[in-house]
Amino acid sequence: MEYQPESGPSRPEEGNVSDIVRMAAKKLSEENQEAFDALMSLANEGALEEHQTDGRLNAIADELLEARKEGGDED
Amino acid sequence: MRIEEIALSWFRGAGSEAVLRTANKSVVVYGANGSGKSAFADAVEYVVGERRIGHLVHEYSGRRQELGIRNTHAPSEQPTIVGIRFGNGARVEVKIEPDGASSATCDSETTESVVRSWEVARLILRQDELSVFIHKTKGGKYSALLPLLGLERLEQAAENLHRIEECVRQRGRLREAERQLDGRRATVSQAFPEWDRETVDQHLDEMGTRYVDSELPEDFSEKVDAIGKAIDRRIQSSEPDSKLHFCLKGIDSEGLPDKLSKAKTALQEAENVVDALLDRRIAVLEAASRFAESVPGDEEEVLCPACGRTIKADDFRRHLQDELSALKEARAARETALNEQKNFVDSLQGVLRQSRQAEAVQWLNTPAQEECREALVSLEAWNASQRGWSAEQMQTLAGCVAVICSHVERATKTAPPSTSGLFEDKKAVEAAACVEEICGLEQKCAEISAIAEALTSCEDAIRDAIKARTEAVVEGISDEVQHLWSRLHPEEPIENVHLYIPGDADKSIDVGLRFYGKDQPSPRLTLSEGHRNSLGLCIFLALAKLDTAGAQAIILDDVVSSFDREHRGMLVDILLEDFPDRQVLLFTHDREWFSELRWRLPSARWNFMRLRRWENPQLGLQWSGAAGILGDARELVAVNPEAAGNRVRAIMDAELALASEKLMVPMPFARGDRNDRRTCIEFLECLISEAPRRLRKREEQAWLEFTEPIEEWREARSLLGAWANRASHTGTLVAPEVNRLIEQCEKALAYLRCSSCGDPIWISDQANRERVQCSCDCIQWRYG
Repeated sequence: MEYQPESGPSRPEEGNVSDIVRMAAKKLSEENQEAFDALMSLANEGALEEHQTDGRLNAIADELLEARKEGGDED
Repeated sequence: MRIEEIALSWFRGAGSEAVLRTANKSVVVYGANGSGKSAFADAVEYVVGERRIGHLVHEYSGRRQELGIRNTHAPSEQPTIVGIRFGNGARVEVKIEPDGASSATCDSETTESVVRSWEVARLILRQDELSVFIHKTKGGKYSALLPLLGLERLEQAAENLHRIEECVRQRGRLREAERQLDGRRATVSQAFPEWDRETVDQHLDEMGTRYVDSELPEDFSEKVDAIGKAIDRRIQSSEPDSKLHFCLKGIDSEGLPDKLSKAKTALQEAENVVDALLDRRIAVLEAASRFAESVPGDEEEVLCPACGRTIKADDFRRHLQDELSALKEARAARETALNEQKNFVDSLQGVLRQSRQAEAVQWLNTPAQEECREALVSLEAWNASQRGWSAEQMQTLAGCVAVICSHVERATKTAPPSTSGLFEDKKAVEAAACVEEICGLEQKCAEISAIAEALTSCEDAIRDAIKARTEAVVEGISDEVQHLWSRLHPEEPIENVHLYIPGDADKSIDVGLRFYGKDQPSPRLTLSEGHRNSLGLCIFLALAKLDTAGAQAIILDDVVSSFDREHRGMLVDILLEDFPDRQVLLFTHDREWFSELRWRLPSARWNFMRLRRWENPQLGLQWSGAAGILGDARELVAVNPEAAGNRVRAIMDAELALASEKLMVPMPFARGDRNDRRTCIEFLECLISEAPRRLRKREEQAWLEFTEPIEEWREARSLLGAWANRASHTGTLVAPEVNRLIEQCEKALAYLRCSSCGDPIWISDQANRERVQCSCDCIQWRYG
């Protein structure tokens, strides 16, 4: 199998970003469930813990904003 | 997981094949300077790290370090290969092409996972890296420890969340929406002071009774629409003079002079402050960035070339941050200016649109309004899309606006009776229409703000977690560093060696200690280079201990060069007692220490290997194939018997010095540094003299005098005196004589170990001041 160093999922000793995000964004889950779900999805797949390019960060922001539109009104 | 084998092919100084086989034990590798032993440490670093070797990062090593990694004389068709096989049989292999491109294979996910979890910084310590950590800045220490604390990914997550929050605000155009919201609220407030949706709705109901004949819709928007259309119909059906009045009131209500004044003020501000500030700040940041690249990592204070202040290196980043904040303020001011400009342009478009209505055109074509007409023509030609206005343009604008407004004001001074209240009602309906828009904008701003605030909360929570974990881990490391330091430097007045998080800085860690009873914030203030190296080793070992599962090996490459014999011995104690189950790969070029390690480290858990002197790139690394401690000498016999004889004596000098020290053999007084230059012959003579009353062998329950070694030592002493001296002084030693010398010296040394357990005869009960003995309790040396 192909092996790449320094990548992949979190190591167990690093703390759980998903848990922290879930707790810290609790208020968002009450105000905007769709955006909260999108944020949790990013956290669960480890996207927050990896280095991201500017383009990817913009895409993530758009994803969260899109989730807002889906949950709320269109503008 | 233990390293079973490190295999190199054309890697660094290795030729076609060089394999370090550990047999799952810890290993001591001895090799003279330049024999290539560090290649094994480099290989592990290359495989575990990101395909890079820290000390090879420089301008001459190539983009992928291929110029340093590959053997300079490797055949072009041969790839460079590094392979690591583990105790469980799993293997990782990296193949490196001549251009440095690499591909790796790993035969199991478990192995991949384990290798990925290894950290170079707590895996390998080299001699020149000992005090690197101590010399780093506080921020540098934090960065260095970050991956070891297991917090690198948390830090990355916090940084990502921060940047995503900024992206959400920018791409959601939150500031623009907030400005729109402020504008709409001002419009509604103008028509309905102290308004809320209910009062506006009531006002609409009242207007509805005056303008709408049919039943007023319930829905707010439909109600606004119905009243607005009804007012429009009434305006359309009014007399021409009323229409004109209405049109001119519309022009007047655009408030061109006020908006132009605001735009002028804001643009002036931008010109005077923002543009100048931008230029200055950009220059500052450019200079600071260039300077930041040149700041050495170990500088505590730097002189900022941009502002001229002496500034702590740790504060330098904050300084840049302040400059960035100022730039952001400037950007906000610039945005305000552009916004005011846009407001004016929008109103101007409204004025021009209304001036094209039939009633207005007719009015403008009268001779009395010629000046106003010309002003409007000038404004029609105005390029509204340009972002900045010159002073001359501003003056033209102001002139035109003043003319138009004065004409309109005069014309609208007296309103026709039929228009009474109609204009105000139309404005009220237009303002009411904003109420719905305000609701939408409020919702949009609230939703985007909620996402942004959630992201900030997440970032804050992660930073809190980082801080809490850093404090906890640093405390744990500190305890360990102090413990190791006290082992390495017992009874020295340097105490309370610890890592701490300075209260005045974020993302910082430093090392403190108490020096002769006085607290010191940095070891660089008082510790000698040797002590700093020693402290660096303690920190490395404390970090290595963080790997509580003990899965990761420890590689120490020539780390004791600056240590004296006493501290080297204490390091062995630490390895034996604090890391009993950890695999250690220890490389040294020091023959004396190698000898000591051979005597002190248990053969059940340690292997000892020797590298030959490196001869050329084609041969590469070569293991010494000769067995035994005198193998080095044996290899020389055929080619250079005299050199072999000299080697025998050098080895015996080192081995017997160590044995005599461990056995506390009394030596005659020697003046000055002669004490440190005693020869194997002197040691043997003292051993021979002391052994009859000290050396005992157990026969069943009785401890009997053990005479066999004395005979062998006597014979060795005799040959060393005759032949080894001859090798040194006359160069006439021949091969059979050297072979005989080696054989006898090996016999002599063999009696310093127990033939049953294989351990040195001083391995056990060293704390007992009466005697020492081997592990199996067969041989004993009595001090008393």
